[in-house]
Amino acid sequence: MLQQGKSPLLFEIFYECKTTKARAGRMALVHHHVNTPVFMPVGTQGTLKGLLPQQLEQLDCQIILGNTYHLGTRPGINILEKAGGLHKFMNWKRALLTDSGGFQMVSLLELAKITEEGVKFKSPYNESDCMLTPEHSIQIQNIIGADIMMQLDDVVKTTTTGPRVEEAMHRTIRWLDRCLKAHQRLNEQSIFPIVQGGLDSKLRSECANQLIKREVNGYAVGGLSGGESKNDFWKMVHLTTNILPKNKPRYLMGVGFATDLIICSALGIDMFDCVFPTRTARFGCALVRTGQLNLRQIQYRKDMRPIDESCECSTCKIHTRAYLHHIVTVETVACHLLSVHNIAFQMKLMKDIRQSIQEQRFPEFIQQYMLDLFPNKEYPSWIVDALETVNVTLL
Amino acid sequence: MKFTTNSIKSCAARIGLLTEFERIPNSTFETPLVLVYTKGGCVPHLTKDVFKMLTSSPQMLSVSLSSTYLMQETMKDCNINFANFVGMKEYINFLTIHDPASTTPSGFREPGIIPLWTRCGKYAITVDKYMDIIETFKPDMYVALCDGDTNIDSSRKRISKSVESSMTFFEQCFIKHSSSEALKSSEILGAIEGGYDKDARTVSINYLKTKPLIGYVIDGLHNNGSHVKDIPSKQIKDIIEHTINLLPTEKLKVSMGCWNPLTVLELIELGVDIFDTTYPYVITENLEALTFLCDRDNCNNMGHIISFTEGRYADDFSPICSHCECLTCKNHTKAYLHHLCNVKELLGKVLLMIHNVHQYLEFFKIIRENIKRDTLDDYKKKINLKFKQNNVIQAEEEFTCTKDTKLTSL
Repeated sequence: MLQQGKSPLLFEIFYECKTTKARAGRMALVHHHVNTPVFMPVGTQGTLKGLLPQQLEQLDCQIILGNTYHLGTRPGINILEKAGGLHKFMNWKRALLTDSGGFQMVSLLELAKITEEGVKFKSPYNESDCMLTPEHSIQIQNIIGADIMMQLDDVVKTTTTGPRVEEAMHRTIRWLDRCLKAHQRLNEQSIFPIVQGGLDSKLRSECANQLIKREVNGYAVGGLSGGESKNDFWKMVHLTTNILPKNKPRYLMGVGFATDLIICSALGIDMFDCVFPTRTARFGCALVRTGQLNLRQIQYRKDMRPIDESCECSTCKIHTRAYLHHIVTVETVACHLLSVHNIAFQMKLMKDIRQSIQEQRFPEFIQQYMLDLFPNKEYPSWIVDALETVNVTLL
Repeated sequence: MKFTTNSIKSCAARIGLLTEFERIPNSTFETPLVLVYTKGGCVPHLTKDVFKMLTSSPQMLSVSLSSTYLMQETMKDCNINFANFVGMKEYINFLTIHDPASTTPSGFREPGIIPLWTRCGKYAITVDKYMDIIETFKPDMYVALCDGDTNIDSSRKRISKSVESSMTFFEQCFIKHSSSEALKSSEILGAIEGGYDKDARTVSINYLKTKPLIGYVIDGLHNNGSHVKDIPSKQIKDIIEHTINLLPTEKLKVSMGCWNPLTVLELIELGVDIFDTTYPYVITENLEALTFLCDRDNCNNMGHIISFTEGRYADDFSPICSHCECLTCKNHTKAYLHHLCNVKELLGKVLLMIHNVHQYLEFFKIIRENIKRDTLDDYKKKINLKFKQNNVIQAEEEFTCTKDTKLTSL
């Protein structure tokens, strides 16, 4: 560790899977510790879709996400600064992570243009020209005060090919250095660089090799989960985790489907985030081990079972599928009940993953999980291939 | 179920006690009581675990058939009562026909039926259908089928029709209720109709007061919905007084709807025992927080309500009320609430609902204490002042606005 002051992130690996690249450990952050591998629910605008901080604690969430672009727009940096940061503003006492704002800008704003200086865009409110530079992104994130911040990266569509991918990769490295230089709260917050390089192994490797030369507390894998083939996806993850140092946490951005969480944990990823569990809840869908139940469907009208008999969440303890069927998309409570269940589902899955790594039975856990999901053993080839590379053969 | 009151004078504020509920024998409720408004089986915006954070005391829930009608087929086929189906079995429930929070469309009458408005449209409810539903729901208390489609503007003919058909509905419901094995643990209440016509009220009361009932719902004064909060107390005072004077003193009197707190106090002074939390729900839907309980001496809230659509709370890092003990005020600031309302996040209404329902439950606690101490009149004056204060502030703001416009036009 560094000599200067205390580190805002201490990562300890407690158990390593003897077969796969998976590891189970713990990050000590300023606001809270986080057991890894971890799934981080997304609370875009300083709130997690209708749930109270108390409920999130009951669900055992140790870290949640905030989106810099949204927070910077509303309530705005002045308010957050006056509040003393996002933790105080939303009264969340555990850990927080913020993105750089760049991804949202490029995906939400049609007129965003990337230059060497930063992301140029028109304000959605008054049409004025704005510029988000790496320095500005870190300045905002320093005010928000999350335990982990993301560097501003040059985002290109995952499926983009050609020189633009290479340009973005190099620019991401240059922007990282500007971000690190701008960072003002070294003892409280950590910046994670983001490995880019599209679906090109050479560019990915080069990017990762450049980034690991910087003095940072953890790394993110970006630019994936954007419509690429699963085959390309897992190979990029595998290749990147092979390069990244073992003793630092690795965060795979925007990934949250159960299968992906399991496979990428096996490939050595420690942190995940995704809007999917809470977004799908708003559409009336409940996550179960075999996929999801769309509770709007008429087949649940008289189904007196809970969503999942083995689930310990308050929704499953109190309510039936039939009742939920009658209130989904009608009462906001339905949305809250499904969010509670879906987050509980993600938390339980990660806990099972951690525990099986700890007990040296992660490969068996994977085998059983996949068999339950594909009882006729018609496993998609990408799953078979990805698991083969980490020495797991499906049953 | 049993209702007892020490009151001997009719048309006076009184303390009563509801006890001996068949389904939950150790539940007791003191009146004046406020029922917690539910929609679709839940307290709006609050999951059961959050509702339990809001209050750990026993509560009685008001349930409207219009928001739950579509569940009855499932409940019937699965042979499960309402309290169990919606997962609220530890709470006593009281079933009404219409949703007090949304305006019941007027008209669409046919002989022998009551139009029931659900989110999937209108259903024609006959007595047979109604009692069939009641046997499925097995509510702890419910109101007999009635035609309450009258208000201040109703014609004499409409009023007499509503009284007449409500008597017929009651007669038939009561026969079925009395012989029903399934409804042994349920109490039926009669609805007093008659709009604002004293003669018609008298007819309705004379018919119902001979029946062996635990109490009555004073119905037919409005068509539900949020505008009920704007009905001035003086509009209803006379007719309520007339009604209660004619009803047996010892019986329970219920008045549902979005009455504002001042009207609630008036009605309590006239001897009404049971209300519901439609008002704090409607206030929540308007992105407002109740502040009428705030003590004037040490609180900045001058008026009875604050609205989070107003920009002035954007950087106000104090709670809604520094003396409020609710989960929202203990944990969150006005600035955060303003942000949540501004970006239309679901948590905004969750937090407002927690505060507003908490305030209303407290309001009723304070009312009961004041009745016991015989100080309700003083308390009423104090609350009245809070409401006047808001009007003064509003008037001042309007004045400033007009001044500003004048300045700019100059």
